[in-house]
Amino acid sequence: MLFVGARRIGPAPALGGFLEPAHGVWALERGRTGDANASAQVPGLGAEVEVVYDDRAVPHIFAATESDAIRALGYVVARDRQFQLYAQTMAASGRLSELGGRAALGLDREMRDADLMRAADRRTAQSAADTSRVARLVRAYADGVNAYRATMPASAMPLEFRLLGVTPPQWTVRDSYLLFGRMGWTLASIATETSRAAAAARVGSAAAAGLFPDAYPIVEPIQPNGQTAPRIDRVALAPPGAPDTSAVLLAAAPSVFMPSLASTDNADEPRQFASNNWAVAPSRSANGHALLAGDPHLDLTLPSIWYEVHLVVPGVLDVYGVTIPGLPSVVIGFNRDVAWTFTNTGADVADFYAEQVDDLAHPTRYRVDGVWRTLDRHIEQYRGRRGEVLATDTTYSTHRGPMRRVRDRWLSMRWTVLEGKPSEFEAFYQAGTVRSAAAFEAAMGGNYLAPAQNMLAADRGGHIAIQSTGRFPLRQGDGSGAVVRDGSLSASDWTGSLPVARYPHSLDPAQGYLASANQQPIDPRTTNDWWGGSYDPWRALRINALLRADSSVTVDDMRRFQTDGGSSRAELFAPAFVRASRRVLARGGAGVDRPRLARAESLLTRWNMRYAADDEGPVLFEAAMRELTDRTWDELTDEGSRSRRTVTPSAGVLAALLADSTNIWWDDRSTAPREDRDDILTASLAAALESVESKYGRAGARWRWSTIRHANINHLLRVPALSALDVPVTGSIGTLSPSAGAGTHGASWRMVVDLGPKVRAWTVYPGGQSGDPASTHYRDRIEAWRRGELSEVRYPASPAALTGSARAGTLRLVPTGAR
Amino acid sequence: MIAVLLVALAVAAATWVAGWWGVALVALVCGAVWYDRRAVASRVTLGAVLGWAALLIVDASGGGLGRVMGVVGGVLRIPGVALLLLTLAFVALLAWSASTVASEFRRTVTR
Repeated sequence: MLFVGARRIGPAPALGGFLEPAHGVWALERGRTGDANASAQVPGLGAEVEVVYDDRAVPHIFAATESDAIRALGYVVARDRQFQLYAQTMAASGRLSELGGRAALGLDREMRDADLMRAADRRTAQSAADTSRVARLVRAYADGVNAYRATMPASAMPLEFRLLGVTPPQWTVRDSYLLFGRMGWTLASIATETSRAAAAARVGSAAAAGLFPDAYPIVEPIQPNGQTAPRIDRVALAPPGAPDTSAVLLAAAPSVFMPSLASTDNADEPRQFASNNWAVAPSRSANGHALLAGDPHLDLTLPSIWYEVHLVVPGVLDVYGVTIPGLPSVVIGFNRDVAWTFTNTGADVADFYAEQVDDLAHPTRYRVDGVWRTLDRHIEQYRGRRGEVLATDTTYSTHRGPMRRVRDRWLSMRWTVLEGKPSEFEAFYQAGTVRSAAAFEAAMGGNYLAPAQNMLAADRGGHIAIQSTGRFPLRQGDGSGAVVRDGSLSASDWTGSLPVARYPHSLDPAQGYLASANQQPIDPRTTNDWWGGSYDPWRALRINALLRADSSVTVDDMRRFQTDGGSSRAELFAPAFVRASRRVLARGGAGVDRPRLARAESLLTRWNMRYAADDEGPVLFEAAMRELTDRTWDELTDEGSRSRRTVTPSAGVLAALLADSTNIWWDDRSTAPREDRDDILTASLAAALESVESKYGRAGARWRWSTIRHANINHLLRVPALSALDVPVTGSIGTLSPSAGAGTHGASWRMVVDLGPKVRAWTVYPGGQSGDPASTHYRDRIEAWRRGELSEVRYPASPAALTGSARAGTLRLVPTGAR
Repeated sequence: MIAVLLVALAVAAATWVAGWWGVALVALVCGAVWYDRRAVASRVTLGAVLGWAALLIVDASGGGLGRVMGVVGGVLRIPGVALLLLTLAFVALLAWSASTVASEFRRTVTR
């Protein structure tokens, strides 16, 4: 029994320590810290900090100095999210195999190859000698996390640590930089250039340029262009040509450098880390105040990626919002004057260089301008659950960044995310203290580097502003980053960055609102700079349409818009299916199953083009879109296979193609006759109905969207019992609250802020404040999130302002030695 | 009965101080000391179960033990009540085996 009690058996924890009731898993309830009244001594505090938990389990931290506030932030985050801190760090440092064994080796290799750890080391080294505010605050945060870790009672050890049989390690400054780098890795986008290269390798460069244009053909830019409706630019689609073998190298690069991201890019419903934000000027709001809404779309996890918090330092700081556990600041939120939120820009901030090395098999040097330079080589060892070595790799870097072998060449990757500075957190600290939207944009423009974001702000003075902020590299020649550059020439290196003055931006536009949903930051007709915008613009079209149509927007409208089930994508394609069906049926419908097509046309006509839980139309439409994509882009698939498409052009290009009914791309190369647009649309619709009916039967309850589409909010360890699975949702690809594929990503935080004389805000996220699965605050917000509801936040000016049922408990943090 | 209650008290205290090893320690000592008593293993086992049951009652005083049972049971894919039974079975087997080993050893040595 001693053996059974002391040793792990397979994945099961050692039973003795796990089951015993004084400190084991049964003590979790007794050891729960949560929002209960408590006090603790924290080394390094200058004065007592009062943390008041409100009835939503949000800590309001009242401190005398910024340093004390951030130290307390570290403490309360560790108290509520200790395991999340650990798991995120293990993932970012490529050490998941120590928890999950060999199955995690691929992800670990990707992380270590990405060089995020060494980038974090560089930032840590820079900050070690740094006496600036930001360096002090990052250290204070780490001290706060470790202060909780050091005093945490054994009974409070989170369940996941007990299951894994590990204890929380020390938190370091490097961990914070590493997590920030990982966020950049998540949001970095190199899709357009590599997709174009993949297409070129199959159908030639001329065709690929049309399939993956620099400028998205549907134009509704973030920086208003004076148009009152979106513009669809003509796409010059050259016919499929001979494969361009020179594109193969670039096409293969993502699967080597970022395999997990690359593998999802070409899925039927690609995972997209996207976001929405919009702001309304007082001239278009019902209450005459500026209003702001934001909802970043990220992985949905339990615990959530976000943690809600309020930091107060009288006269200095009064900021409310969400932080990412591990980052020592509020990331998205508001203060007494300004609210802000971000969307991802998706700019091309990563380039590849073909390096000349001394030995193709075991390189030690690379040549630049005729001079050999020594490669940085690192031995990476991957360990398993019991500490055994699972694999050992050698990784290489040049002065540009990580170098990897791609086919028969060595490519290095330069990437802004790896070149961030410790001062980036300064941007967030300044955001907490700014007094106007313009000051917010200036603070971000001066400090923030990567990943590039469209930063939207609104202030109490009624101003709204947006700016695409980050580091945008300048390159020699045509400035394009969409090629593999010659690494043997220093002239191939970046020559600088675009100046902030050229960033796409807008302050108080005449239209009275601003909106971004990852679309093009700026109208491509007005600039030669490429700023990103490879995302489909459907959400942007929808939110702009909603805002245009409403000149008296209320807070509740803002909330409704966030979960609006309407789809600009459906509004564009569904009528095209219907019109094509009618034309084909009118001309006799030769070669099609007329009754089936007529039934499909009728069903689609009756659909209101919304994706509410009770709607039945989306099932047929989504199946038809899949068929249409497969049939139209058959030239991009392997012979005889529809499922193995090399790459998929955007639905925007497909939409632009609708205007050219006889384009050769409509032809199905597997059949003898040459098909046109209507042939393909109708064949797709009829085939979709057949497949849907074979799967769900005739149209009826089983077609309901709620039975088909769910959010799946997985626990970080993907333990089903700790996850929230099959949560029915409103939305699909391209709706404002998107849901695609496995349902594992979506709106991770929703916020609406009313910038009136007294700032008010409403928020929700799909999870809860506590990382303890047995806490009532572990997943208490999911139902409200599912229903599209928001809760008004409490924004007290002092601890005394939180009274009665609004006050759940108080945590007093006192300097070590004080009582 | 008093002996059983004493064992329960000792097991609870030892667990609180030394964790689950405390159970083995108490059971070893009891088995060795009371080796010549009738049904020593049964008494130690009952006492150990009562000791942990008392600690579980302390744990339950917060009112959320059902949630813990549900969550942990869910993770282990067993009903929550089975986790409770597993816990008591573990301490029973641990106490029984430790006290049996100790009493048999003492008996052998004493002969």
